[in-house]
This record gives sequence, structure tokens and C-alpha cells, in this order.
Amino acid sequence: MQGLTEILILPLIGAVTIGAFKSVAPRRLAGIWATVLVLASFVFAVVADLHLAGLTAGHREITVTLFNWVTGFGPPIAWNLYLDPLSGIWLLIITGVGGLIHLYANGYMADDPDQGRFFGYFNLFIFSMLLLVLAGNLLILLIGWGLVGLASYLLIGFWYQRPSAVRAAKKALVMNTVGDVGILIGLALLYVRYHAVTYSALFGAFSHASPGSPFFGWVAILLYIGAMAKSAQFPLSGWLVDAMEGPTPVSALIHAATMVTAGVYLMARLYPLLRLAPGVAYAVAAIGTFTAIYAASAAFFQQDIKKVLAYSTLSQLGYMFLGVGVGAYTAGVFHFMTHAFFKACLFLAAGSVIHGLGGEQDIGQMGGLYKKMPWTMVSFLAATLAISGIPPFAGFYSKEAILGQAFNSGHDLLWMVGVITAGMTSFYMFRLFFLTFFGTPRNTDLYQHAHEAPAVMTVPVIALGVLSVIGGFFGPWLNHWLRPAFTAYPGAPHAALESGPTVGTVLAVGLAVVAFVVAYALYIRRAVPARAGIERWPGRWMLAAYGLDTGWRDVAVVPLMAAGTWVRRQLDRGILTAVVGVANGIWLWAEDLRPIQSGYVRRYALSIMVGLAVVLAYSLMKA
Amino acid sequence: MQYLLPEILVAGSALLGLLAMVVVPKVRGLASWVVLVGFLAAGVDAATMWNVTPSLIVYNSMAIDKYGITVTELVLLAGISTILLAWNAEHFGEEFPVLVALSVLGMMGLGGATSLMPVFLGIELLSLPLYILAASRHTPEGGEAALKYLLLGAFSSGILLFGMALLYGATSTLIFVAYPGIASHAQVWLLWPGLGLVVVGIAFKLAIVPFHMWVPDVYEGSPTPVTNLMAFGTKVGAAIILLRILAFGFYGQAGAWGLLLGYLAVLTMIVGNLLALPQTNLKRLLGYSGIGHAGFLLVGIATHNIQGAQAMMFYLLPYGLAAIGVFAVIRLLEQGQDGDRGVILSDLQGMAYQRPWLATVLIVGMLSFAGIPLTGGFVGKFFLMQAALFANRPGFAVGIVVGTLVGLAAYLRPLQAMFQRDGVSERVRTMRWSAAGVMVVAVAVVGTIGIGVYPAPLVHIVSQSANFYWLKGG
Repeated sequence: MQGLTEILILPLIGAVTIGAFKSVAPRRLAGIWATVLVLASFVFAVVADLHLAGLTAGHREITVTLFNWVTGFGPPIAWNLYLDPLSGIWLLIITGVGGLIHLYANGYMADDPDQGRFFGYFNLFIFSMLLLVLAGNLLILLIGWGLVGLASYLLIGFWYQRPSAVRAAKKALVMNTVGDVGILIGLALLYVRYHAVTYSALFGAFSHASPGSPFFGWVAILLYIGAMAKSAQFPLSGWLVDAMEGPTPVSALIHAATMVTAGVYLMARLYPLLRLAPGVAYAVAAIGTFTAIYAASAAFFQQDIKKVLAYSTLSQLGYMFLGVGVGAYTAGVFHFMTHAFFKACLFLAAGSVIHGLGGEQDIGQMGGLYKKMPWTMVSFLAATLAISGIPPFAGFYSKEAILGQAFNSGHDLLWMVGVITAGMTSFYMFRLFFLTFFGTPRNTDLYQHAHEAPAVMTVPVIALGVLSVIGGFFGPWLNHWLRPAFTAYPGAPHAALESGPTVGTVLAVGLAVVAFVVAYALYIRRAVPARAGIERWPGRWMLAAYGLDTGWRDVAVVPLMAAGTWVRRQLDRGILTAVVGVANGIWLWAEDLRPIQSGYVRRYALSIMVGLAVVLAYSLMKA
Repeated sequence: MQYLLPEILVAGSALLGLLAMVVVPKVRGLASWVVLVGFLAAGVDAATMWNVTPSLIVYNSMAIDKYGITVTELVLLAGISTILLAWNAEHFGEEFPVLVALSVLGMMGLGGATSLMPVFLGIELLSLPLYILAASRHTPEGGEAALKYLLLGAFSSGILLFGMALLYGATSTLIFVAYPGIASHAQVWLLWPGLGLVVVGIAFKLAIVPFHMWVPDVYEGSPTPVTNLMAFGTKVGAAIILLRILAFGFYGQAGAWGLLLGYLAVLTMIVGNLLALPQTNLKRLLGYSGIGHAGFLLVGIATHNIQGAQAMMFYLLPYGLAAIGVFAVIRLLEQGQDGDRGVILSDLQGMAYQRPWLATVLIVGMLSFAGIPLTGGFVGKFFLMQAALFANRPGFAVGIVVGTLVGLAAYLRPLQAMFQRDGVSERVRTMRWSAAGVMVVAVAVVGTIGIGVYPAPLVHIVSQSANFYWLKGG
């Protein structure tokens, strides 16, 4: 079985055992046990990937059928697991980065009385995410898809005593359900047409189809809606920012490194389908680019350290979708990988800051922390340089690959927006960095008590910081590794990494450097306060993310509530009365039939005789 | 002869149980143990014969095949649950387990029958002990139930026997698996009335409307374990022999009986579920529910395709599991105050809060009867519906839907009673768990949910066993 089952089952064992024994086992044990299991799963993932690397390039995939699940309803549907280079990368990131975040959470959650529950959910999430990427057919993928949504719901609302956390969890679940329904309908359409849900069967069929049929357009759109909700693409993006109500390790693992990239995974996995629906592929790229610049501008004036990072996650996810949409699949996956490194590092470092300041998240209360938390500061700086696209840090290479291919494939407008967004990213990230770690402490009381995080937290942060520095050098290797995955079926002629025009690189890096200088001048030289600009027009708007939440409320929530109220009133009066009337009628009829059941044997025999006469008459008529 | 070992084991355990009562009368409940062990041994032995090459034995009167083995396992499950539900119930009489074993033996015989002779013997062997068992409580209601059952049973046996005589007259053989070659040029004026009479005779056992009227009275009057045997075991035996006679013996003449059975099925589904609605006695309600389910089973025969045969065989197990679960709940309630007095809906009051586990069993059973997803009943109804549509009989499918809808209302009423908050009934308060009862409900709940979530293994078994067309070659 090449260890696929083991990879999957270890975190599940963790979730079940922690759930069962959390009230009897020592409090700290849950975290250690959960971490050990995820790291063991990581080891199995490495072994499985090595095994995969040993196969010939043309057949680089492992399929495992655990058991037939649904039979007799037409073509059988089985629990298929499927490992190819694409899912192999996701496996390593989920278990590797996931393991580091688990380790970190041991320190971060140390004082929480309910940490057993936390780690149980955390392992459940790892299991669900692994199921999602290891799924060999769309139905199993959908199960994983739903389960990560559930784990995310449980973890966002982990501190259920806070009404805001509960509200955020509910919002995430509702928005994700929109996506789940999209996938379900798309999956049903494919099943009806091809009588199969496995990737190999579907992609084989796609290989012989020609683009342009509206069927593929609809299926691709429906599946894209699923990806859109999970990866928080505009306009289904609001939930991700609210999801910051969860504990910081959750934000790092679920809402930065892994779950939100499931949409990227799905789109990359479905590249044979995107070939058949070029319009949808363009929409993926365009919406991604719009999300990138929209979220980057919304990050400019945020006051909460985690919200800045949340908007930056949205923006970087936009880049990934841009890559996938223009056919630069390897570049998209590459950016997913480097993003997992530097964004997890940023979130964990931010968590250390929050931890060191006793729960304070407002950057207006921070400043000068570099003296107190040198390790955190250095890692944060490395990750900031990486996300800003400064060479030779990780983000530079992957972002360049995406932008270069957007340009090469002729998407000039998208490329231009992407380059501008790169500059904006540099500005808001350095704003955050300077306001947090430099300048004079704005809250001396907090500053006095600030302290560096314990080793169990700093070690994962530093490890991820190192990966943010060197992650970009994995590019050529990744290019080689992913080639079999994107050549198995037609549809990805430009999947490999390409280098863009030199002018583009110079422009993007130049803008990033200029933005850095501006941020330095504003927030170090002139010591502008964090709250500057949010009173007036552009700042106020950008802080509120251009009123997206209000927009959703006006467009969807309020009308739906009104419609619901109206329907309930009408139902109560008209339709329900009718239903009750019919029910009463049936009731009376049934009551009426009861006297036939008199209890007299002769009547029963008569009934048999009548029935017999009818049956005989029928038989004789047929004869 | 070794192929008849399961039957021999059950018959032997019945005789040994009788002997034990006489030889060691001091040891109470010994007969129950003997019969239980006999059932289990027969079940294991039948399972080991799964891969035996199918063959005809006893002058072509009995078949050894997967169809018969599956039936054997099903009726043994019914028998074991009956023995367990009557565990330690000494007032039913010491001969109780022996009679159960004899009745189960008759059902097993029906599973393998390929000739009308074992069909008649099987039906009589399953019925005669039930007439006695129905009265084993020694109450006026029990006596009335037994007498009604006996009179009408004798009446229907006469019809069945007359039909068999006509069939013999038309074909000059009792071996119905030989009919496909003969029936087309047989004397139709003997053949069709004969077939009609046989169908009616079996339909009486299966409780098809309008031959169903005995069911509620007998179910209500009989002790609960006996009702359990009637609801599960008798239904299995009658349904599968009807399927084998019609779908094989009269394979080519489906035009003559397919639609007729379809009409009866739709009528049964709707009337059975409709009459279940106003019932307040839980066992009466289950009686009507059993009638409704007989209608569902009949759909599988009436479609006359392989999907229908498979769906019908599939449906037997989820139906049976839900039935033994609900009967076990009734039995456990009877072990409290008031003893064997019938359980009525108001006796369930407050059960969901006072006895959550018992309530769970009832919920699972009722939802499976109603055909709610994630229970075996849903999967079974789905297959039946699929078979009806494959057979191009949308009318049957509509009948299933209407029957299910009406049934849903009937099955939700006990649950509604159970969730009533004002007070807890005496029965719920005083009920006592017993180890045997716990075993039965555990099997019922796990099986019902298991089949609902992961039906593949049962589908595999059923698709192998519902394929009895090997008889054509033999």
C-alpha cells in the first residue's frame, strides 16, 4: 500500500484517541501525542514520495482502492486513494508545515484548559486535509472538502465563549457550504455524463473531448465556485478575515498554509477540464488577480496584526489563482509552497508577539519589540522579505514565475495589476513590520512585560524563517518533479516554469524597494502612528475592505431573511393549512377504514374469498 | 446428505430440547440453550457451504444453492432473536424454544424447495408451531389470536393445496423448477387457476391485502417474541418461495402474473401504511407496518427482473433487523410493570429523556422502516425503486413513494410520543434491561446503520444468491 493508508490513518487515530481520553489523560499529553502522530505521518509521506520518485516518469502515480463503497447503484464508487507528484507536494506541506505548527501550538496553547479538544480538532483537520489531497475520485475529495470545512468551523469557534468567534465560525461555514454545493452539483453532472468519478476515468474522457461545449463550461464553473469559497476568492472572501478569531496556530495552519490552498489544488488537479473551458480558466485568472489587488489595498490600513496577514493571504491566493488560470501550473504550486513557508512563519511569529504581549493584537499598542524578541523579529523579517518579493528570498522566485508566465501568455492587463500588487504587498508588509518591531514602544506597560516566546515556539518559527529564505531555490527541482503530473493528460502545455521578461522583474523588484523606502520614511523617520489615515475617505473604505460585508448583508442576508419571513408567513397561512387538511383527510379515511377490521373471522375469510375471486378472474382472463 | 446438515442440526436440537425437558426437568431453561446452540451451529454450517457447487437433491425436490443458504441465515437470525427475546420467560411454557425450532425448520425448508411438496410441508411446518406459540401466554387474547390464526391458516392451506393439485393436473409433476419447459403447452384451464390459488395461499402468509386481516389481531394477541418470529421469519419464508416459484417456475409467463402482483403490491403498500396511521397499540402498528412492507417486497417480485429479485432479497435483512430491534424494545418495556399487557403509544412517554439508549433503538428502527437515509431501509427502498424503473413500471415506483410517505407519518407517531416532556410513563420507569435483550438491540442497531452506510457487502451476497438461474442447466 506504499504507506498511503498509514499517512491518512495516523492523524485520525490521534483525533479519536484524544477525543476519547482527553478528560482522563494529563493535559499536556494531548499536544505531544498529536504532534508525534503528525510527524510520523510526515515520515510516511516522505517515504511514499521517495517511492513515487523511483517509478518511471510515465507512470508516476500510486492508486490504492481501500474498499468498494457504493455498489448496485450503477457503476460502483470506491474509496480510492491516489498519489501523484501534485498530491505528493501537498502531502509534504500538510504534514511537514503542519507538524511544525503542531509543535508550536504546544507552547501557544499551554495555558488553555481545553487543549485536549484543540489538539483533537487539529488532528482531525490534518486527517481531513490529507483525505482531500489523497482522494482518487471526486466524491472522496468532496468528503475531505466537507470535513476540512467542519474542522475549520470547530477551530474558528474554538473559544466559543466569545460571541464574535461563534459568529465568524458560522460565517465561514455558510460561505463554504456555497462552495460545497457547487462541487456536489458539478460532480453529479460529471457522474451522469461519464458514469465515473475517478480522476483517471474522467481525465481520460476529457482528453478526447474538444473545448467549447457549454457542458464543460458549467461543470468547470461549478467546481470553481467550490474552489472560490474554500480559497476565499472575491466575493466569497469575507469569511477568511473573520476566521482570525480562532487561535493563531489555526490561522497559520488552516487559514494560511493548507486549507485555503485546497482551491488551488482542485484547479491544478482539474487542468484537463480547464483546457475544455478556456473562458472559465480566464475567469479564474482574472478573479484571482482582482482578489490580489483588492486584498492588498484592504491591508493598507488594518489595525490588527492578524488581519493584515489575513488580507495578505487573500492577496497571495489571488496570485496562485492567476498562475493556475493562465496555465502556469507549476508556478502556482511553487507559490503555494513558498507561501506555506513564509505565511506560516509570519502567522507563528505574530502569534509569538501576541503571546508575548498577553493577547494584544492591535499594532497601535506595539513597537520596539525587536529588543525583546530578537528571534521572532529576525524570522518575521525573513518572511516579510520573502512575501515582498525581494531576491533571493523564496517569494521572489515563485511570484516572478507567475508574473512572467502571465506576461508570456499575453495577459498584459493581469500582469500589470500583478506587478503593482507586488509593490503594494511590500508596502503593507513593511508597515506591519516597522510598526510591530521598531520605533518607540507605544504602550510602555505592555512593552515592559513583553518577553521572547519559549523554545518550543521559536524553533518552528526559525525553521520556517529559514525555509522562507531558501525555499525559492527548490524551483528547478519542483519543476522537474511536477512534470509527469502535468504531462499525463493534454491541457497543460505551459505548465513548466518559464522566465519572464527582465523588464518585468526589474519593475516588480523596483516597486517593492520603493514601497519599502516609503514605508521606512513614513513609519520610522516620521513615526506616523498606526491609525493615521483611517478617519478619511480612502483609508476608511479600505479598512472596511470596501464594504464587502455590508454589500453581502444588503445583497444576500437581508433579502433572504425577508424572503424567509415572507414564505414562513404565507406557508403558515396558505400552504401548510392545505397540507394539514390533506393529512387530516387521510387520517379520517384511515380511521374510517378501521371498522372493516371488525375482529370477526368470517369477515376475514370473506375478504380472502373476494381477493381470491379477483385473482382467479384475472388469471382466467389472461389465459 | 451432508448438505442437509443445517436442517438436521435444527431438527436435532428440537428433539434434544424435548428430551432434556423430560430427562433433567430440574434444570430450567435448558431447552433454550439447546436450541440456541443448535441454531448457531446450523448458521455456521450453512455458511461453510457458501461455495458448494449448486445441485438438486432428494429427487430434485430440494436445491442446495446460495439462495437457500441466505434464506437459512435470515430465518436463523429470526429464530435466534426470538429465543433471546423469550429468554427466562418461563410462563410461555417450557416447550416454547422447541416449537420455535420446528417453525424455523419449516422456513429453512422453504428456502431450498424446488418442488411443491416441500413447499407445502415447509409452510405447514412453519405454521403449526406458530398456532400453538400464539397461545402460549394462556390469556383470552392469546387464545383468540391463536384460534383466528388457526382457522384462517387452515382455510388458506386448503386454497394452497387445491392450487397445487391443479398445477399437478396441468403439468403432471410437482417439481416446479421443471415448469419452464412444460408450462407453455400445459392445459391453461388448470394451470392459471392453479397458479392463482397458490399465489393466494402464499399471499396469506405474506400478509398481502386483501388476505391480511388476520395480521393485526394475531400480532397483538401473540407474545412479543412470537410476533417477532411471525413478522420476520414467516415473511422471509413466504416471500422467497413466492419469488422462486414465480420468477423461475413461471419465468416465461410473466405477462400473466407480473401486473397482477404489481396491483396487489401497490394496494398493499398504501392500505398497510395507511391503516398503520391511527394505531395506538405498538404491536398492531407493527402488524400494519409488516403488511406495508410485504407490499414493498412484492414489488421486487412483480418487476420480474434480476434487479427486482436482488432488491427483494436485500430488503429482507434491513426490514428484519429493524423489526427485531423494535420488538426488542417492546419486550424490554414488557419486562417492567404490567408485564405482557400491550404497549401503547402513551407508554412511551418520556422515554427519550429517561431511557435514551432504548429510545435510540426505537428511533433507528422506526427511521429504517420509514426509509430515511443512513439506515438500511433507505438503501433497500432505493433498490426496489431502481428495479421498478428498470422494469419500466413507473406505477410501482409511485406506489413505493406514496406508501413510504404515508408510512413516515405512521412511524413518526411513536417517536413523537417518546419525546413528550410531560412526565414519564410507569412502564418506561420500571423497565429492566436484560443481557439477551441488549444483544438483540445491539445487532439490530449496528446492522441497520451498517447496511445504511456501507451496503456493499450485503449487495455482494445478495447479487450472488438471487441468481438462481443455474437451475436451468440442471
